Amino acid sequence: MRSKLAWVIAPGLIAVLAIGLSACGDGGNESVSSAQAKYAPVTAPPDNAQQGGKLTALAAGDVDYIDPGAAFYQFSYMVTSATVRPLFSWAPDDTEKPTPDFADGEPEISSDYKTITVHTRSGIKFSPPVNREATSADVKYALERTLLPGVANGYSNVYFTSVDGYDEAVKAVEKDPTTAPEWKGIETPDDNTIIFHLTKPAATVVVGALSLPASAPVPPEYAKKYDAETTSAYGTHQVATGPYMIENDSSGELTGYSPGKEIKLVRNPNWDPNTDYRPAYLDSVDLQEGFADTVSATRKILTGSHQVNGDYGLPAQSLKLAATKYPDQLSVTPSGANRYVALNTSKPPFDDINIRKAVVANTDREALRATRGGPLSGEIATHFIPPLIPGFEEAGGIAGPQGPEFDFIQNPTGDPQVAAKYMKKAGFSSGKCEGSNCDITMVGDNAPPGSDTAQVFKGQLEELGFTVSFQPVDHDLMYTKFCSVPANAPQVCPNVGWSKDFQDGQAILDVPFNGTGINPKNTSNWPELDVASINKELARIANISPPDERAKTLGALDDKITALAPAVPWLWDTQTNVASADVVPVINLFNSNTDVSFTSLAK
Amino acid sequence: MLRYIVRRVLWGVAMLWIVSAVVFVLFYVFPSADPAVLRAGRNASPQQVDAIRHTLGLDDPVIVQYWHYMRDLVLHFDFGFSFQSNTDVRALILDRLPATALLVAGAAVVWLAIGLPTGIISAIKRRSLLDRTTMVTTLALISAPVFWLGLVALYLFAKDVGQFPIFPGIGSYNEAHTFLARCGSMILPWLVLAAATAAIYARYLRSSLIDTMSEDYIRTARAKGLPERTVILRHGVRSAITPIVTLLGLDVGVLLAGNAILTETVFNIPGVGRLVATSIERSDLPVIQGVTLFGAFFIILFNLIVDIAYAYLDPRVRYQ
Amino acid sequence: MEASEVRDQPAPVGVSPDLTEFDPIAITARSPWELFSRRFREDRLAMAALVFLGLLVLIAIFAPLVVKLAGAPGPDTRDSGALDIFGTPTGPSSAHLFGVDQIGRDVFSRTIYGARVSLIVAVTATALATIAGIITGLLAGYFRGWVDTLVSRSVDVLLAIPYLLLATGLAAACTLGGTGCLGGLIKPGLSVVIFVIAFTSWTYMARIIRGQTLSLREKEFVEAARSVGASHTRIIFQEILPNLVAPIIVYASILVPQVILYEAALSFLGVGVVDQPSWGQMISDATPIFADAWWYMMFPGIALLLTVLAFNLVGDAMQDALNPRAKKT
Repeated sequence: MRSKLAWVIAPGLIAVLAIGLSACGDGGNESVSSAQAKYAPVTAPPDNAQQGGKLTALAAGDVDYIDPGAAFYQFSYMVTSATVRPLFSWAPDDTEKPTPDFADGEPEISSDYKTITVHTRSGIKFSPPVNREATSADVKYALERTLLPGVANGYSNVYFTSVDGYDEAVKAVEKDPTTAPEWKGIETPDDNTIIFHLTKPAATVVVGALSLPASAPVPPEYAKKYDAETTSAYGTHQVATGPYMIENDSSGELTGYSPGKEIKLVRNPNWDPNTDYRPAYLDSVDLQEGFADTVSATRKILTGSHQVNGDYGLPAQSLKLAATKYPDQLSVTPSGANRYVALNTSKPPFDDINIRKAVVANTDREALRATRGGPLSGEIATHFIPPLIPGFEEAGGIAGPQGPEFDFIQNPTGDPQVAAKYMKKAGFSSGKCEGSNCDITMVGDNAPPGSDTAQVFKGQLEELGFTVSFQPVDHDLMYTKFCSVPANAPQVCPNVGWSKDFQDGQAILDVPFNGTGINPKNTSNWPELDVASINKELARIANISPPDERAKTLGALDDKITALAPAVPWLWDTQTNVASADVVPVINLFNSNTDVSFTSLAK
Repeated sequence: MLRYIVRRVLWGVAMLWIVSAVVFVLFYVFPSADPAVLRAGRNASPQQVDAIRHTLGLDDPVIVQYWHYMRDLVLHFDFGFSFQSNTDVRALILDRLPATALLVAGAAVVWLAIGLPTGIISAIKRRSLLDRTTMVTTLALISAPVFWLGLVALYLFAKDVGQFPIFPGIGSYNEAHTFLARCGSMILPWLVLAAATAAIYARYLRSSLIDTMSEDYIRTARAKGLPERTVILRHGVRSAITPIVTLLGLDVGVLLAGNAILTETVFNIPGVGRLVATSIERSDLPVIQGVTLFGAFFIILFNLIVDIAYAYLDPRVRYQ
Repeated sequence: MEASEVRDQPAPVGVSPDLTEFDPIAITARSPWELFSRRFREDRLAMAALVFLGLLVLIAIFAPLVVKLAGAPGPDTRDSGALDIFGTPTGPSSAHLFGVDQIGRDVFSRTIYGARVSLIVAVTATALATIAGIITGLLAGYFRGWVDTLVSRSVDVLLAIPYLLLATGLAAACTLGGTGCLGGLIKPGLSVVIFVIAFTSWTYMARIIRGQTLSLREKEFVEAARSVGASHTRIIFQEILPNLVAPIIVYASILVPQVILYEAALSFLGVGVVDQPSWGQMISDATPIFADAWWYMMFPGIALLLTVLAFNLVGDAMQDALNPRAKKT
């Protein structure tokens, strides 16, 4: 997921740290500083949780897609985790593996990692107006429809390409974009069994991806007519399988969704609590959007009643208010996301590794972190894989990779001498940049805190002699027009980052640093790093399934990438959440957000 | 008279058409972002992006796109779908309209209620201390940027953060569910938006009255022995009212069309103005088109009403 | 302004006609400019405003010196020490007269430098809008016919588009092109703002000049020139344009403060000047944080208020001084 919504993290480790035991891996490695540990999130409801009531979540923006087949944002997951049941999903305290949801148990993976068999539960009914029991064929349809251009799913082509028949299905959709194609690699021998046949030993990756909302069942006889439209209207007519549903009328049209204004969740009358691990205490959840001023919204939540924050992380001012005046209402959760400044390696001056290393060495990463609120907003990053993701410890943990070849990344407040050393190596005897290649452009966020981070970094670049022209643009535009389009990409993109899609380190390294992923229209490899050995290694890892081996290989690769300095890693993000005093929030560690299916109101 | 109205209406329609073409070209010639990429999301493959581009009709030539757009607009009153959120543009605009309408209507009431009496009293008590202070105060209000005034008002009077917490503050409109609560959340925005306009109207009325007071027929009225106050109020104001009504019409039209964007931004009011800002930021062309046409419609409509009212009152205008 | 007002005092009663006719003291012929400046100088508030503006121009020009004399750091220097552990800024102190902003830059420094942007944009954009307005208004009013129709209809269409929408759209479009608009002439930054403001403001002057030209061309001296066989160019430049100087000055001076506010609004909305300190941008930066950090919302705002007020006072006084017929006070 894009780092706009990054938050989430292993509850297990936090709980372990809280009782003073050391985490798995090398002894003494903390993944959370003591400052953050003070605000550890609660990931399980109390035994006597109260039933009923209405919760309001205040959000600045809207979901990216209301259609669960395309939903990608954490805020969207706040909704989908309550309304739809994918094969596997993340219970609030899940950190390493998801919990079987529509599936009735763990997936059966063949020894060659090429076949995945999942058995689904019976007794799960769709919400009105469909009302019937969901079957495995509905999961097959849900995945098939993600290939339709009208559904705009952004990750089928990343995680499901190894499912047999992917290419034929894509071709079929090109011919007829109004009908979901037949995907022969997904087999449903009976109503409660679904089998995935893979062309490569990529079972671990595919199973991880089955925890995304797109694998939740969708009734084809109901959805077909909506999917046939240019832009599928299933999103505004969707049916639910979870404990909650978006309010709709008798024809199925959502009455509880006003784009940009609110999303109203009510109880799904067809939901059977005996089939679900979710307790669903609340009667309804009202997500109100449009609170662009997150400072005043946070103040409202802290001093108000029955409210939580929706999609945003607390700005520095609010973090200060919460931490100093309302500490019991604040929780800080590592989010499984990193933030970095991408340096464009495809053109001067950052095609020279010594100049890149100098920039990394000179960067005062603590000053960058200060723009987001200081230590509570995350740990200073020393490589790319974030805490609690497999590969983190293997890459060096919090302290990061050590050794003379990593001297440029050792000092979190910057080391001007090391920077000067590398500048001299690059041929600038004065230690500062000289010449026309020193005029660079930077495209960043036009809104705080991103704009502030960009400004601070600009100042730091100028210390090294660069002349920086900074263009602030809308966050989405920054990606879709500049940083993600190689032809328009500037030399520096300071406001980028990556968040995990699921608990695996490959996701964090592959798309952002794989040279084969650089396509001229839309790439997330912002540094445009294209090193053959790294590309090969990433392809190789995709086929390694044993978890320990994966973690080791990913950790080593992370260090290798860090050594090339394609970017300045500066933060391993936290998600900061607040709740009113009369709310008993439960934080979902995967989504780093309040889990409305587990949250209740205080008595 | 009828011919005049027909001519003006036809020209109004023609203008709307020209405006739509101009905006279409403007945002096509200066493309800000590829809408297909925006829709496709983060990891989309080039084929997916192309497929989306094709379904959105973006690979047709501009003329064809424009034709499709106008045809849908005229025949079905369909403004298309937002690139960003895939929601019906017309519904989006109509959803935002009530907030702006409430803001503008309330502000108009305030600026008339404050501006007109101030102007009249200043004219009556010309050159007094009251008059001079009023003149400087109104000038100061006109000189203050409205968004700054809004922040100062919030800093002083907002319930959650103000030094003297009296009125609901930022974001209170989003939480208000009754009409009364909504009005409460609008008090500070009304005062802020009305401040500069009230000042303008006060000054205008004052100088217009002073001019009128040197006319012959006023001298006659004075000679008749009528008190100064009656002279001004009955004769002076009557002649100054028509231009004020004109100004009012134009101001309201422009504000409804989206010029309240600054006030809406400061107070976080989900109105048409904010929609303009966000849609431009995201290069959401259908929404920009829709909002511009909608705004132009309001401006042209109010201009039309004002012109026709003038023509009714002053026959000479019809023959221009 | 006609040359008919050469006397500003009535002849003294009781003095013999011979004396009043030849006494140079009793009757003094004053040029229109002298009359204008005399009346202007009577408005003391406007004179104070003029002095303030003069100071402001000096401060803007010598900004680096002013900042150095005050002992403040430069406008782009970040002082991490002035931010607390949460990264939030501290207020007015001995180290920072007006406090710091959200990334530690000195507010006093930035307020001083902000004057440059406001003044440069004010003067340039007004000048461009005025020139464009004069040319189109003059041509429309003088030649009438299809020229007038073209200009008037264009003005109508332009005015039908909400100007902030047009401005933000144009600014966004020109900034995102990377190469700017008009083949690179308009680059992202100051030039975009000036272009956008001028483009949406010329209609104001055009309409006024058109109206004035329309009435001027009917006057006797124009008819006289025409009957003598003078060319259009001659009539325009020698008969009409000189008589437009007064309204041009008056309305341009009314336009300047509006342009300043316009630039501040665009900067506040994020489409104005970004790479230099600008008062509107500072207020925009202060918006999320104004409840606790009032200083960098307050000082630039006051600066804007005083500057615009000064220009308004001067403009008002000019208007009064050039149109004494309607004595306003």
